[in-house]
Amino acid sequence: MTLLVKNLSCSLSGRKIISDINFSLKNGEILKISGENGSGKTTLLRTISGLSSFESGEILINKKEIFLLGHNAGIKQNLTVEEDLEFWSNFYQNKHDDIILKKLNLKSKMHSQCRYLSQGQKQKLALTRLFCSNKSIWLLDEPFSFLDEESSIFLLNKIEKHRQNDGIAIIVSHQNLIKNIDFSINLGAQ
Amino acid sequence: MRIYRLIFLRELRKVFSYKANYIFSLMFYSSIIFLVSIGLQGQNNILTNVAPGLIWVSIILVLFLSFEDIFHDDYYDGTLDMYLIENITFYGFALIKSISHWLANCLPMIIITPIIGIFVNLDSEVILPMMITLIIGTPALSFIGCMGSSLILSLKIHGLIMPIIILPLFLPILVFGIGALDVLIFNGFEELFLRQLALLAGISGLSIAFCPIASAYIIKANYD
Repeated sequence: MTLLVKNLSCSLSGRKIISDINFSLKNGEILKISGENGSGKTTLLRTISGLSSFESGEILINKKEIFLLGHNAGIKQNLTVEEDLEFWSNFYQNKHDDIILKKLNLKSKMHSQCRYLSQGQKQKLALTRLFCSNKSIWLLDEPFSFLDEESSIFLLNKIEKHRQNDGIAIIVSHQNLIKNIDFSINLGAQ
Repeated sequence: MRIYRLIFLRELRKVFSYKANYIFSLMFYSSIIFLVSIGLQGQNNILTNVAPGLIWVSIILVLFLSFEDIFHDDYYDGTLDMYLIENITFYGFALIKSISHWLANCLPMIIITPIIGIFVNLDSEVILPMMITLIIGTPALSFIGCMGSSLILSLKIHGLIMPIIILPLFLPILVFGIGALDVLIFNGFEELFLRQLALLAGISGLSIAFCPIASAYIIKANYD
């Protein structure tokens, strides 16, 4: 499996956000995208995932294998953590792992409504979906935001394991936490 | 199909887990009817005559409160993104939202209508036809309302835009809904009642068939 992005250009409200981006990723490779706020990192991820349209260029990707972890993770305030996990487990037809819930300290929050979770806990809940989804292409937009140190290390290990299992990851991050990056793109200034 | 069923069940769980939403709707519906019945105290004949119209108008007013946030949360909290990545179509999403809106908002009001009817002196013989017109007519309100809700999705300030756009579309439903009951109450023409009911069913059928398609296009346009 390969992910190919060729001469990709995107505009948002008439303003060119991304121009002529090229990269190709094979199984087990990780790409890090950095850049200033507003430089188009999120737009690039949304375009690769097919959520946003692009002006010119080409994207070759198996859309069935994509998981996008964006800024908003679709967490419903009225539902409990358990209900949320149950829904996405059924959705991906894959039971969530109790060990992961314990590691992320979500086990004790199972019966709490999502409205009472902190930003970090919501991010952890979104991550449990990522691990439950069994997708091979991870598009992660600032996955370490709001996470405590322990959970960040846990996520780093998961990313490494994903790579060892021949998965592909594109990670937007301002931090230099990931060590074994194969490629990186800096989208520069706004 | 499995995923659509899951989303539909989640929608229902979401709506019914937040009891305040539909309980307030029911309270508001009862309040309007109750206030009018107090306003027309001692004029039972007038109250009986206007009861069908009053019930229909009250239901429309209450529904307007629920239309604004039908798609709003899913659009802004990333749920729709996740669905689209998983190949859930805009049409399927709009259809699920419309059906769950009817079940969560219209159905409870229809169920309490026979009790509410006591306040407005609704004739016991009219209760069943009233319920039938509501069951047949209110799906059109939900489906058209969902279409209106998709129109204001990306507007930060929308105020009265949606009511102004969709209120004219509610007029035929109101006319045939009340008209069907009027011919039955005042003239006793069952055949005319059934004809008006058939027209009402036609409007609902068209709304169910076309409004989710229109909603899907509008939400997609908001995305692009």
